[in-house]
Amino acid sequence: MRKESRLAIGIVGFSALASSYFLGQGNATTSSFSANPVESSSAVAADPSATSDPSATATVTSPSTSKAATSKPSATKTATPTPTKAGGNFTSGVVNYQYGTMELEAVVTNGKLTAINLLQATTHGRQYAPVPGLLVDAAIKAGGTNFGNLSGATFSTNAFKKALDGALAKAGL
Amino acid sequence: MQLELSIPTKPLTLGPRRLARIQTKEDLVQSLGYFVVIAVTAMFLLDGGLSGLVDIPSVLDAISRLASLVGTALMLIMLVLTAKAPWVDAAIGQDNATLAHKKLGKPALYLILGHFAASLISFAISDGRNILAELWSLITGVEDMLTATISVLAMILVVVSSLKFARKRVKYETWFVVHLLSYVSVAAAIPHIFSMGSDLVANPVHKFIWIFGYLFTAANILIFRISMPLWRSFSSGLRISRVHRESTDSVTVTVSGKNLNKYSGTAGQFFMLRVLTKELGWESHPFSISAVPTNDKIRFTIGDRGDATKLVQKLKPGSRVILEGPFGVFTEARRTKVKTVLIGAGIGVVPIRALAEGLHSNPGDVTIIYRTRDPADSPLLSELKVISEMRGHQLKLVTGSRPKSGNWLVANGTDEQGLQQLVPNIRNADVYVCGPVALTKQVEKSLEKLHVPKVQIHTEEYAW
Repeated sequence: MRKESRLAIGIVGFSALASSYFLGQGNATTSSFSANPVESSSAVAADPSATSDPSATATVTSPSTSKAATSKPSATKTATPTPTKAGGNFTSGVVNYQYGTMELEAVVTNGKLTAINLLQATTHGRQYAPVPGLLVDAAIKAGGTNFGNLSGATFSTNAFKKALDGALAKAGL
Repeated sequence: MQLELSIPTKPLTLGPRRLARIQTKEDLVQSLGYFVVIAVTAMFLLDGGLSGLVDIPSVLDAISRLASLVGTALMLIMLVLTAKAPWVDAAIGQDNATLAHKKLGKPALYLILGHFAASLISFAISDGRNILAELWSLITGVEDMLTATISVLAMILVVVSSLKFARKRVKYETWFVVHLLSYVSVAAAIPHIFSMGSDLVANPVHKFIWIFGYLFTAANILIFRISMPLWRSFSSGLRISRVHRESTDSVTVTVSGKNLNKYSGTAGQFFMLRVLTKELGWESHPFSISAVPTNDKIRFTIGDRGDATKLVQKLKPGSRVILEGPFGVFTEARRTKVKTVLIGAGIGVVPIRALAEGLHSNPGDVTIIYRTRDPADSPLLSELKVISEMRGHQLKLVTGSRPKSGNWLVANGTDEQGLQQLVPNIRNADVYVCGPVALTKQVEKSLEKLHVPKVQIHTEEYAW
């Protein structure tokens, strides 16, 4: 490769990666979820709401409410208001995955996702009960599925996103 | 001796603009590789891949994601590099493509292993299991994890079997069959990528990039590596028509067929030859053409040593063959100057002899240097003499074993002085060098000392 070409690729590549990084910083609301706050003990049935992981999210009382409280403060990303004022409730398809099923209802007001009702949200088990709620929070904050992975609950995050995408597609978002 | 030569008649324009076009083509194809890696990394970053790293599992997840993206991108690039695609060969030469393929092997493996380890550990921490229990749980409980694990195991096998220590102990054919597992590895990873890849879920643009990448790679392999050689060889009815001993250690083999013009190649190029008999059908060897091809004949001259010895002994006229190619940029396509120097040593004279016939030239433009031990037993020497006389090339024979000084050209003085005397304005000439690796390096050094620009030096190594 000619020296000039190498230089050009270096500059373009670096700029592309740098801009992507900064654009992505405000984007993801990746938080971490741990079903096992006590490291090595497997006999402890940890109470999910009393996890000792400092980055775990605030308690959520019932999975189907959509409280906007997450552990990590990050820039809110709202859905861009569309010219047509979409409104209404849109049900997703049923998404089966390795640990259960996700089916939800997206509530859209004035072209924005304002609430999510979980119709079916089963996960690994008792220890993962808070996960759907966390995902709902993240989704409201992001105005859709444009939020990062919930570390420790990858499969659930993916299934949830698939379901929400389906519901939002019906809303035309 | 009577020789029917194919002397070029169409005019050829040389000069700096031609050089610029050649370099641009090369740069574009190489940039493609860099672009792919940058693109997937940028998509990862845009998705917030490096933000919100607060604890070990999230750091491991980020490592796992990025490593898998770049590692898989490298693997697809590696597959395209060995797909024997004409557009790759024209831009960078198939021999360089194969070298690049070899260089990418270890980095790709490390990245995929890193991805495997990071995600496994991350899941193990989150699920509170030890590593082995977690692996077992994933393989048995999650559908696409079994194929993903098979993928990584196959990849380990492929890379380990290709390391130097393994290649020495194993026959080429055995190594090749194991290496085919690469296709298994790449394919087996696809299900979990699309069902579980965090970067692809809810990101249609990124998903599209990968679907396109896989389809593009598959198309290149199916068309250029598999179908084209088969189709061409059978529809042209390629067969060995003549086997003739050229010297003590070289044999000339002529392959005949019909309508060969479309793919018979140009002087300086080589083909992979596979003879379809029970004994030889498993092997495929690279051989340079030793004359400008015609519409019904492609002629090779091969060294009767090493791998090719058995081949040569068992070759019979009438056998069907499959030709893959043509390959190589040791051709006039890379030429930008009028004055040309062709340097061949030993069996390296083969493409030199073809170029002597096929280059556009006026008397005095071309100088040929043929290094050979014994002029009475030198392949293609008589043909070179006839061609040089007919076309006005200057032919210099350098015979005997190497002088004590270790020079490659002259007995007295330095090689550079000798070269300078032979070709006064060599700085303004294209130089083509083909021969054993050590000698080629020596010649290159002499050319560097004479300040011949690198873009004017073309080498073909018989080692790859």
